[in-house]
Amino acid sequence: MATISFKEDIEIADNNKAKELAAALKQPRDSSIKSSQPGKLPENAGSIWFRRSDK
Amino acid sequence: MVQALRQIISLDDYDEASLTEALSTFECAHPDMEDSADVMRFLREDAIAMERAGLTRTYLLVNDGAWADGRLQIDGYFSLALKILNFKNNIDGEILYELFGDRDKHNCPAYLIGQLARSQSAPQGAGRQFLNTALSYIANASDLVGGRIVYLDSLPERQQYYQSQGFRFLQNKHKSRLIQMYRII
Repeated sequence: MATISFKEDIEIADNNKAKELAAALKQPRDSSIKSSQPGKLPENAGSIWFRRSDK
Repeated sequence: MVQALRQIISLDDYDEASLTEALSTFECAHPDMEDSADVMRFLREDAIAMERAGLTRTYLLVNDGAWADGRLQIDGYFSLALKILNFKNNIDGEILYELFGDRDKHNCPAYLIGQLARSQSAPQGAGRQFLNTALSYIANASDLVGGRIVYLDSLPERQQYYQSQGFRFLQNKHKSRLIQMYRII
């Protein structure tokens, strides 16, 4: 993991890897991954996140 | 509990200095690893600005027990981004046709797991849970707007771990010791 990764796109120059990706994309959706999204913040979120030690 | 940084910075009583201080308390589980300084620095220095710019989305894994006691303990976090995967001009037109139904199309969307870390206080195995949560959020984005390729840049020492989580080696990262791994969702 690296912050630099956010600043770059990804490039593929290897035909074999491109072919591998093409084959993988023909497979159906991975059923082991269930779609979800983050919930709402708790009511008291601000009071805990914004509690500064020098306040 | 997972809390979205996007929601935290939108709170009415938002105080950036306090939030930065809170994020700075995060210490990753393996401080001796080569990338640990970057993992902690990103959360401390870059995450808020990149969230505001819409370049990344960061999710914080907050310890439920501590929260119930009115304390903050960050067990881990992950940061996601939408990127472009480019196929260089040397890629065979037949493969591009197979990929896109178009020999002249050279790119597609890809989701990046740019940061993924657990703290020293997080239980063993929490990293796998965090990764699964990251993948489930990406799956949600994929359901809404498409894109099936997920990738990450990893130290070679973690290749086996990510392989055990369904990722495959893609290539060595240019001008870096990192390797790039992918998974199709």
